[in-house]
Amino acid sequence: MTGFLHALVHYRFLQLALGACLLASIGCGIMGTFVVVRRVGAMTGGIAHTVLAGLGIAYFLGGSPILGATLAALVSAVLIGLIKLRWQQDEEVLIAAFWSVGMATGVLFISMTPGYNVNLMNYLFGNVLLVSGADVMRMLILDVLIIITVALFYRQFLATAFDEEFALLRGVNVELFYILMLAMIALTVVLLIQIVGLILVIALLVLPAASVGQFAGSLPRIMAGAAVLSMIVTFLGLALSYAPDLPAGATIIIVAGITYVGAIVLQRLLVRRRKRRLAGAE
Amino acid sequence: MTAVPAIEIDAVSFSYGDNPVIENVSLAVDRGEFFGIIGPNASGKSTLLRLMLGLLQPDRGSISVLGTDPDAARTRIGYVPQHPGYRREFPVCVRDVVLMGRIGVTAALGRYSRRDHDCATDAMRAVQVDDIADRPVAGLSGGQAQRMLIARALACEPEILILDEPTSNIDLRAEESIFALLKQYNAHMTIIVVSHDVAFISAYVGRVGCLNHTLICHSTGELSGKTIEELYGTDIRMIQHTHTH
Repeated sequence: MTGFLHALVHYRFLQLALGACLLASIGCGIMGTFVVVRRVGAMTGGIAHTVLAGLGIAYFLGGSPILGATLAALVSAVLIGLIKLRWQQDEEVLIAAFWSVGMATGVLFISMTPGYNVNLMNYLFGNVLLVSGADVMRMLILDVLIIITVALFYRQFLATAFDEEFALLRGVNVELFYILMLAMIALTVVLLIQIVGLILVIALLVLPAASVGQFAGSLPRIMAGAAVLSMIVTFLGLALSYAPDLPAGATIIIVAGITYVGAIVLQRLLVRRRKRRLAGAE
Repeated sequence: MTAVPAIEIDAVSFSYGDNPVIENVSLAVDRGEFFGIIGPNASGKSTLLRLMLGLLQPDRGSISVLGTDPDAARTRIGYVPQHPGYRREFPVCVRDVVLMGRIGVTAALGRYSRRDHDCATDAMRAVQVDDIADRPVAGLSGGQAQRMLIARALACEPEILILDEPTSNIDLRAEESIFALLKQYNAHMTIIVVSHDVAFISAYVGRVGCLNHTLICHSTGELSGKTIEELYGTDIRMIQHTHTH
């Protein structure tokens, strides 16, 4: 760990990596909370995997991979949402279809790209050490966008998430806010893909919010707690991976998993202790 | 000039698929009325309410609410559903749920105003959930949850209050206090309440609609064992009660 801190002072790529982790954690905490309370974890996984289609097409056309990723994430989020709501299709089937067809599309386009030299592994599993100053800037902009949108429409997002029918009766456009939420989740997915890759992204979105959700009783608290926890988890993962030269993305996910297990065990212990104390008081 | 009725239903029919639920129902509820709807299970009571709220569209006939479309009048109605439409473990406290009633009344963006908070507090006090305002909904009993949903509807400051079996999870004494409360609110809002409890409801409401796919209205004075028997198709024991209010 001291080796990592020492290197952090000297190497710009590590500073950028850490900056990326901290910034991505903000969006991750806010939108991860919605993923957990609205139970759209699997849908988020589907959106993340269709990103490969955008990456593949961008490579094939010689465009910007991150732009391709963003467009693919947004298009799949809006399409999954609309088809589910308007055509009353089963969400499970839609997710499976987008998930695999998206990946297949990406693989085909990458294989057709002339002079194929894409490092697919970086997108599948992330490589935070390759993050550039421009990437960090983009993350900052995405964070600001997410914070402003959620702050402005917090009541509508909360009401739609809590009780869709009542929100509708209060004049909230629940379809719009559902799809807007999926779109914001899609942007967060793109933000996180650079850190942990598209395969591991669901874990980072879900686990910190689910861990904090064991203890916090309101959305703003879970959002803030999950953002902080995600900062700790990504920092630890990055630091632990540095000296033994492990893949940072995978290490971060392992740390997130251990944190989640710790959270649910702690929650069980607290419940048991409270019950014992109540029994003792009688 | 005559006042526009609160609800005007004209020859409405509705079916789920091939299964007709509402058949040729007409009904006018005046402003300021306390109107009860009774009927056996699966007689279409909740469906009729959902038609009034614009959550369902009639197959035939027309519905107007406060002189306009049900969709357009929605935010002027407070609605208490029979079953809570939320997941119990959702991380939110009672106060924040009641505040959701302010959406559609207050400004669309940003935070709740001082007045929104006052309205929510008054509503919680009225149904006696103010002492559990900061409790998460996960720990509420059935009766507490139901009273929270009534508070949420009252916080809308509605012109019409529509309640679907509002006291099904509540014991008799609390049920009486809630109906006494509704009677007070009736002074400045129209109230429509669905209940299975024939005897109980007629002590409070002014007029009763007996629904069993079709609707027959009675003033509460003329409700007799005979009409109830026709409605339910069996002999139902009526408990005699006198009005002491």
